[in-house]
Amino acid sequence: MIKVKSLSVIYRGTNAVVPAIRDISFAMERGSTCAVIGPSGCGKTTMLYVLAGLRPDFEGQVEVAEAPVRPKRRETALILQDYGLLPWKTVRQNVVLGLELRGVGKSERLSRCEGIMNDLGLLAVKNLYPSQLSGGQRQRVAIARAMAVQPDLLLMDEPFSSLDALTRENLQDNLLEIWSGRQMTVLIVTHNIEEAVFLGQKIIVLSPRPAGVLAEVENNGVGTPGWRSSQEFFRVCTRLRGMLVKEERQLCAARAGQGS
Amino acid sequence: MRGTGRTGFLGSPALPIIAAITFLLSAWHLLAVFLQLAALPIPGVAFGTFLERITGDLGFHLQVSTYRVLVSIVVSLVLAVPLGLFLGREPRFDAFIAPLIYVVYPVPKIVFLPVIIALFGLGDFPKILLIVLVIFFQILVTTRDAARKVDQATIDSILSLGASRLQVYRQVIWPAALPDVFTALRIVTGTAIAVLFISETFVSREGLGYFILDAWSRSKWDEVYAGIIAMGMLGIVLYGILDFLDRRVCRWKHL
Repeated sequence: MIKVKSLSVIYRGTNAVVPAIRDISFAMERGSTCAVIGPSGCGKTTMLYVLAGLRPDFEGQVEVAEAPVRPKRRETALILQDYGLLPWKTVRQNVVLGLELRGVGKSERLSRCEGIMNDLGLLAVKNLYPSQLSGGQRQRVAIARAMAVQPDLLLMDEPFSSLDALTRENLQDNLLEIWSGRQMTVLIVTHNIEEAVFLGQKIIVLSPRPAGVLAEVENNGVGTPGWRSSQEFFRVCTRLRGMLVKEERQLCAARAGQGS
Repeated sequence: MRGTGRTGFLGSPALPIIAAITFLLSAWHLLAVFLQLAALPIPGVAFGTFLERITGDLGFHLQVSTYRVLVSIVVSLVLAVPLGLFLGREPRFDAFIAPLIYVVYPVPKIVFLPVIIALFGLGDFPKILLIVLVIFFQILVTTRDAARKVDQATIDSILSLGASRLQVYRQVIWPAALPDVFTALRIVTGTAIAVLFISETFVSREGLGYFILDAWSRSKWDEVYAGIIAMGMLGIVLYGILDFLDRRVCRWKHL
């Protein structure tokens, strides 16, 4: 579904040129999930923008669904960190937005969104505005809006990072349910180790800026019952934590070396 | 009324409005009694004249003035808002237009009144033109700055949903700028009435400005104040319309 080969992105600011991503390669099967984990500000979001077609100024090859990545691919859905909900639209108006932009008629877009809003428990709040919702509800609206256009690729940037632990796990469960019911590929960017292990059949560990692939971890227990409390889950978490800690130590040592 | 929503007098309970009006009239009354000037009659006299004349010539002048101000505001809005939204989102055009705006904006447009009258005569058009010249820039600059500060992440999410350029304007930039457009409208309403007054006092036979100046030249102070009361009414009606629209259109701001 996704094929990334030697992807590099360079930020060109007004007075500085900063490499954000250096030589990333990975691939994702159709219908699989993948978690990209790495330190904050390492270029994960930039990579998501490239995959969504919103950043055309990259080097390397990026293919989505066997075709070069392009803007406005209709089957790609993107959920950004702050959810990107429109404050002047009600929950329902936000959810149908994707269909509205595609010119789907009013009655059809409402009927097509009923199901997903029901799945995510949004029918009771459908006439409220985003500012009247809790963080978890807002995230549900963002997921419903993305699902309404029936994507085959879902890209999420730190989707649950601002939520409390229980709400977060609840939404992670919801996401897996939605995923398992559809032929959908999910790529999720996170800095939370448990989240990556719970959701990603493949976990890509990135190095600090400029981001490069440090390791690729196969994680096949995703979606099996009781996964979150299984021995294997904790084993993978520990392994991942080990990698990230080691990386952090090396980085600190390198900085100290530079400083002396 | 909870939250960050602005409340206008239409939405607020009646008691504060009555209290405010009572306070204003009492202060006026006390000042008039204390000063004992012919040029400052007590409110009772002024309101008596107002009620007597509003069904006649004063009512006619109020109508003329209301029409001029309303048309001026609507025309300015239609011209300034789309241009402001566009300039706010297209820095390349703004870089060219902004210096032009900053040069023309502070020029006192009132000085063009004789030129405008020489060109367009004494009807409604020159007055409307003058008001538009003044308030157009106030709406333009506010709208442009509002469009500029729209969050890029919001635009990116809409783009990822497949929005076209025009849809970004319609679905994001315009609604995001709307509350600021209403703020601009509240400010320009006061300006528009002030400019209208001046334009109506200059070789004119119609409008509240003329009514007040004419009464003044005859030292008919009760009529002067009746005209001023009519101008206050005009303000109340315009702000009432704005509050009503704001409440309906920017519902998410008044939760």
